[in-house]
Amino acid sequence: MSENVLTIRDLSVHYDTDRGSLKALRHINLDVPKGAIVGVVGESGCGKSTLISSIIRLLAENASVPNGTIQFENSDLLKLTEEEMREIRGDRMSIVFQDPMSTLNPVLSIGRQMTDIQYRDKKPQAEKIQRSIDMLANVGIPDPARRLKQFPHEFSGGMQQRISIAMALQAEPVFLIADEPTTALDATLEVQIIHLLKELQSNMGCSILFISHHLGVIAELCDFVVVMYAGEVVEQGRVGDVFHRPAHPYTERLLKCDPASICIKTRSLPTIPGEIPDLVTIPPGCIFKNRCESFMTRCDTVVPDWSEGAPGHFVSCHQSRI
Amino acid sequence: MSKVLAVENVRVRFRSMSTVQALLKRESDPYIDAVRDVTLSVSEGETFTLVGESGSGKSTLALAMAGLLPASEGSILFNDKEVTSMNNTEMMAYRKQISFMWQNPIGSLSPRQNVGALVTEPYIVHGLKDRNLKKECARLLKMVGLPAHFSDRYPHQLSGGQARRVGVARALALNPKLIIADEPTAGLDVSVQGEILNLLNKLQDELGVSMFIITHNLNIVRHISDRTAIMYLGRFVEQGPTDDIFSHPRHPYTLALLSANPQPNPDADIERAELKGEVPSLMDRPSGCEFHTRCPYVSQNCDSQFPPIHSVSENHLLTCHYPRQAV
Repeated sequence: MSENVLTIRDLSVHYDTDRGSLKALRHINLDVPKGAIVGVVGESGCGKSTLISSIIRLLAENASVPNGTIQFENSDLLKLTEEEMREIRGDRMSIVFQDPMSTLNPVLSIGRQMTDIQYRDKKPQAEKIQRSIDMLANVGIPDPARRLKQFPHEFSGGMQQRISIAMALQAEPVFLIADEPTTALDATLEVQIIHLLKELQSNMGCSILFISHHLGVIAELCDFVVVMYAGEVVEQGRVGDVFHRPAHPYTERLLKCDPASICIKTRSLPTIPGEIPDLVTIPPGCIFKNRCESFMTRCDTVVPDWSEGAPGHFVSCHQSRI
Repeated sequence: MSKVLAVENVRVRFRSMSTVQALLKRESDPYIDAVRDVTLSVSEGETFTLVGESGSGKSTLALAMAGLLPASEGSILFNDKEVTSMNNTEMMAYRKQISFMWQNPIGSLSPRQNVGALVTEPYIVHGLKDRNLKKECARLLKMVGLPAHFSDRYPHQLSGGQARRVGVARALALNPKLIIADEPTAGLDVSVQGEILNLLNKLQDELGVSMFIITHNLNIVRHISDRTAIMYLGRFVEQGPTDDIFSHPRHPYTLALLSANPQPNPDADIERAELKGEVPSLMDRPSGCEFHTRCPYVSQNCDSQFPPIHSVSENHLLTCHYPRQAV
């Protein structure tokens, strides 16, 4: 495997709550290779957002990181000072959020917002404006010079998301986090945004961590995929390997549940019965045991190892299928 | 099958500028039409789904159907009674027979009421005080598959899927003829989404209630609905039996929507009818066929003449000059 832009090792994040310490992330390992798009899938509450917040170091106040490292370009993000972190955010690493309408400031023009975020550059204003126009043109917004004077509400949802992408890529970061950027859009615009991200990524060579619970989008866009369940990474590998030969029972069930993969019309869709365990009192053994169909006694007590079943395809399960 | 709800040529408009502004700008029409000339009907025990991108007028149409927004033209008949001209008393009676499931499962529940109070609120609103509310609450919770002790919980203690179940229980409280559900599975995970849809299907089979479901998730439409309509810029571009539409989409927009749907297979070789450009503004509708600015098959007359209604079969209709041929 080539060099990694981001390497997470043994990361845990706990939240202090009234009921005790909630272990939102436990011993996460994750690699983002240079120039690759890595997808993260998992149900809500599995820790996707906590993972992003810990990478950009914007965790809530009651969060603590008992162990782990986040290696980004030669430094451990968790050891940087707040000042050093500010230098990285928006410059080396940036993020596109789920809802474009709440990402953009509704009372400032697009142009103002796009030049404001270039505050690091000591360039004349005219150059900054030109840079903004170029970026808007890059993401396919027609007539960018005139559009710069407009406000967010004058754009459609798809265009707003393009603008957020343009702003995130303005400083040419090496690493972009996209947090469900297409959930608010319809299918035709979703495809447009995916193609746009793919094109920009190959032009600029940045790496992307793409969070989504839409399996179809992950399959189409990403090179690698990371499957999360209840605060743990249960499987990681190339998209083709994971989608065709899922090694973890959870991944397998998740893929089967997607209505898009069911070709015959049915009135009873498959589900994964059971609930996610309470993350305050983590049960011993495998985290997925209470919902797993191939449960065996060992799963009850022994936590499965994080092992490489096939080259580049990692899984934590006692009965790995690879 | 008798029709529960029949909507004919409905138009819903919003004022976009004040009279003075309109005079100053010499604008003769200070309104925008969010829904234009929509005709549809929902039969007894049927599921009708409405698909379209955000901003295409899906929710506005649903609100108009529920009598929550005035329709400026057209008629909405519920069991042969005109909804648009109902007075307050009639409206109350109408609302007893239809119910609405709102888009945001947790946001649509009052944070200050517990589940028990939430699901029995419809009885109080409609003055059915003689009911044993505790018993009704237990019955409803059982129906949607929630344990009875949930009646003491508050919305913030519920997961998205549980909150959605409470929403379903509330919608079923008065035994309605029609349920209007606005994005019932938005924001839910695939597994929970499956549970909610299975529940809706099961309840429909048991109770024979009709459903009008708004969604932009095409993957679920195929499995839950009998008939589907596709909306673009406030108009229906195509409507018909779901199976027909999915196997033989005729309108270019339907075709593009269906082919754009990403498949959970990394090797899938998807042939796409790609759309150019952006959705036009409602303030400035394109001339002729309103889809011509983005249509990959645009041809003569498309930009000048409004397309005729083309009927493939009795209930499969579309508006296009050059409908695609069935493959």
